[in-house]
Amino acid sequence: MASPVSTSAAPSSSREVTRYVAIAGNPNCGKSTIFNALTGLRQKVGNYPGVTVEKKTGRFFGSHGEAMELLDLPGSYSLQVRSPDEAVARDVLLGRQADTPRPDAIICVVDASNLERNLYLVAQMLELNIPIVVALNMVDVAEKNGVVIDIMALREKLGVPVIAMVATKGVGLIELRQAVSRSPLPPPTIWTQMPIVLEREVMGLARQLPVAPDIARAEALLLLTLHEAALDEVTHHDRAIIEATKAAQQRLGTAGIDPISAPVDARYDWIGQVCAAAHHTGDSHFAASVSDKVDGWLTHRVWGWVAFLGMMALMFFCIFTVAQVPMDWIKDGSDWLGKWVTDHLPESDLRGLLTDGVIAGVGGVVVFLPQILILYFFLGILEDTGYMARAAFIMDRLMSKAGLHGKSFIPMLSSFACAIPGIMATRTIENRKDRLVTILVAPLMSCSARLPVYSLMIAVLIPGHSAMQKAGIMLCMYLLGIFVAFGMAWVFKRKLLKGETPMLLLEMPPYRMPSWKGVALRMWERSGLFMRRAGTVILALSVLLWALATYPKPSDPKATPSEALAQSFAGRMGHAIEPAIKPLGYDWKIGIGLIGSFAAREVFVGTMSIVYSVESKDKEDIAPLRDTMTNEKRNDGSPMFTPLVCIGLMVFYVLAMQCISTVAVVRRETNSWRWPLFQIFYMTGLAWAGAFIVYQGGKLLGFH
Amino acid sequence: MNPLIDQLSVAALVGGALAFFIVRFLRKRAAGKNCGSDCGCGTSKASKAGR
Amino acid sequence: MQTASHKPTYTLARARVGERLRVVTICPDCPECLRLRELGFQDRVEVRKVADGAAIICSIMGMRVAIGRDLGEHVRVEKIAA
Repeated sequence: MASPVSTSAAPSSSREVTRYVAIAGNPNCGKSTIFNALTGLRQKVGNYPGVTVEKKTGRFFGSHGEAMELLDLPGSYSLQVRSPDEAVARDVLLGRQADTPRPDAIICVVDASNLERNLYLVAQMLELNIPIVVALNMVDVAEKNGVVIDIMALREKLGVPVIAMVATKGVGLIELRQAVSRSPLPPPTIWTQMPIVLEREVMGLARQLPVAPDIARAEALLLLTLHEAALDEVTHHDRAIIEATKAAQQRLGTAGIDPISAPVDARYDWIGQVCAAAHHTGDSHFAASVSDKVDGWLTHRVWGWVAFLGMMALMFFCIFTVAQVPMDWIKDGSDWLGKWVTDHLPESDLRGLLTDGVIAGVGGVVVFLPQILILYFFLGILEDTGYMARAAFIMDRLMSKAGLHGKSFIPMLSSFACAIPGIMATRTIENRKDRLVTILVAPLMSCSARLPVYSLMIAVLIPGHSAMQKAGIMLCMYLLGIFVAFGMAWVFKRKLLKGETPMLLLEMPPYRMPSWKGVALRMWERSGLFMRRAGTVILALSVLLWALATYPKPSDPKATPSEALAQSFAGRMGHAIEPAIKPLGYDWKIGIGLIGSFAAREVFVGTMSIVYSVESKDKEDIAPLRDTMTNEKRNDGSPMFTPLVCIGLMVFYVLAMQCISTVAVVRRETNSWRWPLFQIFYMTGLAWAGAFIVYQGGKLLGFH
Repeated sequence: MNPLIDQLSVAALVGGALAFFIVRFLRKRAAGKNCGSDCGCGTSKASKAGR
Repeated sequence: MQTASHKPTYTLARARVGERLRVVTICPDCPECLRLRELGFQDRVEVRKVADGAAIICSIMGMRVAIGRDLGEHVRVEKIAA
């Protein structure tokens, strides 16, 4: 079906925004599908300041062409929040979020096949005094499940516009657009009435709150339903308000009303009345569904693991084989470009900078784009189909041994792509300490930037062996990362961040066909972010590294390239750290690689090619670099890259925190420098110790 | 190639790369309150005040 | 514990897979239980246990929720006659 959204026919985006609309709803109710359908490619992905929660905004146009700004809020079950992303949704709706205005209207997306539970959030939204349009999504799924919803009755009971939709097929989008652009859009007139004693306390507290009168009731109700410990952590109200809240809670307790559960019960009573009038369920509601049967297999103690490992194997197989073809194209492209520059520019520093610095540095990173895309493709499908929640479920037993729960597994899985989305995914973990532990260990999972380092070292270690043997060593490195991550989580949970793990509570979304458009859009977004990084940070870094390895030039013009390197800035730095890395079997040249890759580990390969193949004509190809490294000798004439040094270097890269972007994200997520610094310290220490054990231990055992 | 042009262009590129990092750093500091971009600074004073 | 019926009650963690159950009470104190209530684990609501292992999966109001065994101990249920 043709989508009614058309980017080309859209009025100019410079038109003034007339309305600011937020799109809210439970997780997995189709919010993002509606957001994508309304905004098309006119999206902007950013972050809310202070937290690593993604902020997605986009422009869309009402039925008369009026421009509106649409904000995709994180999915939440309730305004009584339990995780950082739910807190962002609440703060935006209450106008507390810095840099984000309070919305003029809310599109509240409701999963029709799960109406009662979804109406709970609607009930809370109705209390916020913001105009609401309810988008009743997935009515087709509901019908298939034997659920019949009387839209007119629902509209009447809720007192707000209700639009029946099948967002994946574009059904109802025009009506939704019309409903949102209606002017004026009145605020809700119906909301849940609380028990009279509670209502009196709410109004009393609302009068004392220094907030706008239209949200005072909602704020007061949220405060009154906080547990004592949570109340003590509230910082956006002064002490007097907190004390008044506690006093009100006490009075309610004496009157026999539990201020925490009473509003929930009242809302569900009201939902019961709404559903009695508008919602008719067949008896199939409780029959075992297809999803139940599939769950019987995929969450089975044995078969669940078989399915999980099979899926992981397929994913990594595709990453290492399918990606090879486009990777070769990119490599050929950058080789060709390097050659073109070499052919067209005379021998000069500028040519060296362009070929060795810019093209080798940026090309060496961009070459991983296909692998990253495939990884995101798989992760997107696992998430869209609802399998991710099952993976978290079966991993819960293993994770609980390390003191974490299954939810921590999803960020760790994402970290195989890159620790940054992994760390961003920790926002769904409710418990602060568990989130910190997950953040601390997530970068130990081997990310895609480590691949080039492993590939190079394996090529030096066992040239000419079969792909299977190489893949085997690669797998060992991945397993080492996982193993150490679990071990460190266990240590942190027992020593550093002691605390009870909250009990697992996780919705298992029904299995669905993935939205290919959504998966494609996410891959597009990610590749954009990755390319922007390659074009900015990596580019600038490569230029600087090249300069450090080139200047100052030796006074003697006949100096060999390796003498020139030795007295360059990079060479001096390499010499400076040599004492620290000598016990690992490394010399100052490897030291340059280690320093160079401190900001981004993938730079190691580029640096090594600058360091070792300065004399080689074809610097883009890994084979001459591999041969140069294999033939590299120590001062005493023994080979430099012995098996122990190669394995030690790989172990070092498995364990070291060499990624400036991850440091920045951890800094932002934890809101202090303490944790990222600790992370750099412990991971570098671990890396050093690991490489030391491999080298010295191996020597003691008689290897070389 | 004229050595002067060569040296000047290299100096411009290296200087540009350096300037890139300096500007990035300064912008993050200046935007301390709230830069609103996805640059990774996120040092919102509001968030430090505790949310 | 007060219930209108005289059927034996037990916790969700101990119920058998495939049983149709009705929520009798749920602990009032812990934050996880508040979220369970918000997800629809209200008194008298029907639940069916779908899977059991290190954690439990149950079906409630047409959705499936995975909850830890420990949390399952906080929910008392009774069996509904088939």
